[in-house]
Amino acid sequence: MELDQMKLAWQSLEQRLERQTTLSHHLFNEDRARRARSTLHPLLWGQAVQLAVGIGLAMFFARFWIGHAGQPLPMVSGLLLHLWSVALVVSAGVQLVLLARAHYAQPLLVLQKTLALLRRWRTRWTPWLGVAFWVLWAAVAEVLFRSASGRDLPTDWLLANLLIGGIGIVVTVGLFRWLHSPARAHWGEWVDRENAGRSINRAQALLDEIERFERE
Amino acid sequence: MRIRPGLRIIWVSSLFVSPMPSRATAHSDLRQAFTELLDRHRGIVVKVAASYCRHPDDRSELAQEIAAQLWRAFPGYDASRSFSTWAYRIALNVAISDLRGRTHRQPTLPLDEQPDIADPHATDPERERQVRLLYAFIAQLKPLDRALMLLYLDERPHREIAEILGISESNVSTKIGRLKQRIRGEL
Repeated sequence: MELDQMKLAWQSLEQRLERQTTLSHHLFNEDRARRARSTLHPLLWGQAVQLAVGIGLAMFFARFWIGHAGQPLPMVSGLLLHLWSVALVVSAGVQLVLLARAHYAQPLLVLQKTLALLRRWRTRWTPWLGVAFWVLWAAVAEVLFRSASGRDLPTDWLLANLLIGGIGIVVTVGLFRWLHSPARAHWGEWVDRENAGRSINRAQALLDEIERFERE
Repeated sequence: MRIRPGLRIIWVSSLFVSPMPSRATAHSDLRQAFTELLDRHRGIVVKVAASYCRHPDDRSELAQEIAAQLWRAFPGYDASRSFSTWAYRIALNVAISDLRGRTHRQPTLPLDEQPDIADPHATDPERERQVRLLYAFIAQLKPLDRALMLLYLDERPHREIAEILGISESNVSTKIGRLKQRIRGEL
């Protein structure tokens, strides 16, 4: 097909589409326009709350481990939880910055790249904040027990729980990989959807696609 | 008080209509200005929706979503700039995000099963075949290439395409050259 013929074909397709839209409905639907909001809105609020909670926890655990400097068990527990809280703050901060940059009126490549970066961050990094709790919950128990009783939890108990936590991390990561194997792709998609939006591979594929489009 | 150029006319005219312009009046004027512009440029919404959705229900849903998001962003529109460029950016961004966000899409329909696109009373079978080929070609392009194709078919200037996509004009020329080659080879 010649380019001129193709443009004529496009015009006739355009006329049909216009006719169909005029006949079937009005584009501007009052009710829908009232309800229109960014699909990223809940995420924005969620991350703002996460940031506030993270700052509060970071301050609490910093005071705790500084107050117990020289006492290995509570100090290490407090320090680990302090680092986790800082990671929570950083994760929320990164997502808020990306969300603040995302507007539909931006050029296509700018917005789509921002959304792909956000997706990659949410799928690649944020799950580790949850996975870390396999071992960190023992640190939480130590901090709470120490605050309440002034004594440390029994070392054997802590070691046993750290061992269980370590096994838990290995099993979680193994299960995650197993679910994301090509044969079980639909299960992997479901897990991603429930936890972090879209899969890492998909987010990376989008970034690659945008980069290719820019470069070619 | 600083007022965006897009709202200045509405705001100034509302001062003449009423000595104390109410919020409801300003909103109603804004809506009227928007619906007039949308009506004039409805083709953008319709074409983008048709290029990114093949199922009539999805298409109608997407067109409504684009119109709603245009309305939502309208207070930020700068009237000194082209409405079509602004509208294309929003429409394409909404369409691409929608396409990537959907996991359970309805199955696509063949063109002859789409009563709103296929013309049952077509008098020119050759043109009908060309429309079919073109629609199928657009549907198999990647989302960003599809945006470029749509803007090319709409005969938008390279400068405007560059502004909408966020690439340089020379890059647009290169891409369109390649797209033409591909069209010649595949259609």
